[in-house]
Amino acid sequence: MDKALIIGGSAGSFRTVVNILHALRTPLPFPVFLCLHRLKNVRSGFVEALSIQSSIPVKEPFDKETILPGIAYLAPANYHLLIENYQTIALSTEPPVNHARPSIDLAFLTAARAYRNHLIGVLLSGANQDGAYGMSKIKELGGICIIQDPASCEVKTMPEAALKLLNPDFVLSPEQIVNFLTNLT
Amino acid sequence: MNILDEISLVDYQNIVRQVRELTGVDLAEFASASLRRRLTRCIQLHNFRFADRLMARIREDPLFADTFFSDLMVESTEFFRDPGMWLFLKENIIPEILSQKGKIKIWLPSCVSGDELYSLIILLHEMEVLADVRIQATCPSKKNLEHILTGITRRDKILSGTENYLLAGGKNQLTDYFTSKGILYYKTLSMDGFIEFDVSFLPAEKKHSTSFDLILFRNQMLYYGKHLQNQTLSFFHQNLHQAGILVIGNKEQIDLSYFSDRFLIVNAEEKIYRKK
Repeated sequence: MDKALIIGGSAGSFRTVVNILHALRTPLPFPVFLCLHRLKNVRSGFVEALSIQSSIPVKEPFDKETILPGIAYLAPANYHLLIENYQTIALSTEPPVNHARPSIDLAFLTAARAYRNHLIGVLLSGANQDGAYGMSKIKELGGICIIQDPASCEVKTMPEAALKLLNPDFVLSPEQIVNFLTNLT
Repeated sequence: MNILDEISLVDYQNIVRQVRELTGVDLAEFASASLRRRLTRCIQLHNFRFADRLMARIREDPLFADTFFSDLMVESTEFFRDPGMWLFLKENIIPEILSQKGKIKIWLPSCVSGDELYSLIILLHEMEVLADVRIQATCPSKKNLEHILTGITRRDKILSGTENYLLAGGKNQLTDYFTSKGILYYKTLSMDGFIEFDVSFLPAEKKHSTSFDLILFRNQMLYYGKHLQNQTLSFFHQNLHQAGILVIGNKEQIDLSYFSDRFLIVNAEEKIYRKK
């Protein structure tokens, strides 16, 4: 089965996401999912900002969009991003989970179920506990878990919450995360 | 149980099969990732310890099926979601229809919480055109209809709609349209005289005696599978007047390779279509 990379982040994660997208090797043989907390009524601008230095196209998917390798799918403002199976994205307007929509937990959980041990999950800097439970599910289903080293975070609440819940495969600085992901093929 | 834990795939498939046998509703037509979450939520909501208890309850108590179907629906979480769409309705679509026909018939095919309906009523009220409007409001269950008729709403929805309302060109404050009694909030604009309510779990199940100028069906097809989506869109097409307008959710799409001879895009950003 195909593999996938999923990245969750909130406050203080933008720069790292930009650097990761810049460093990814092309052609990239797998899809990337980005679940980043954002303002609900600001639809435009975010994809553009992420695209400028990205080595792969970044787009906000429509509901039921077919997942293709080599594309970064950004969770749209005010929707949850779910992976329906390893071929399709589903969006949802269900209530926010732990005050977040998109919810990193939900994106991680559904991606873990779809890709199991073919998934790499990355949890970056952020100001709440979103993503910790989802990360534990990625771990449980055999995926690789990378958590940003809290010491390197602008806001360390999110990685710390995850580190309380699970033993990740790697705790890395932003530079190390970029290096790790650059060497993926 | 964590709020994110879900029923097993086996339980999920059993429920889908038994619901079909007991009620005739085929939940396999729905998108599975969100349906599995909704079924889990329903089991948690009623404190059933096992999926079997849910099925037993539907078998033993015919009224419970209505509650079950209402629990499956996803309600909106804010008033005036996607303010740009409401602004376009107010400045373009509704004036255009009224100038041509003098009156307008609107259908909301899935009123779950009534928030979308009430946003529309506020908008029409501020346009001062309510006298020329007829609304058909279809609720997925009796429970949804009864809830809407109480006028009760949640404070957090009003709060999260406040900014939306102003971005949608609101003339007052959103809070002007609600009154609080203790911890409850009530809608204050009347729904009498211009709205006809009916109940149908799937909008495409029921024949209508008249056609509509405008159908608002946003963020419900997210939870449908492709087949049910296309079936529903075909039904809407049949129930629209010539050049009638269909609005869907911002991240939903009409498969124009399938519907190219039936719908035109009016506003791609706000997902507004016109019947060909």
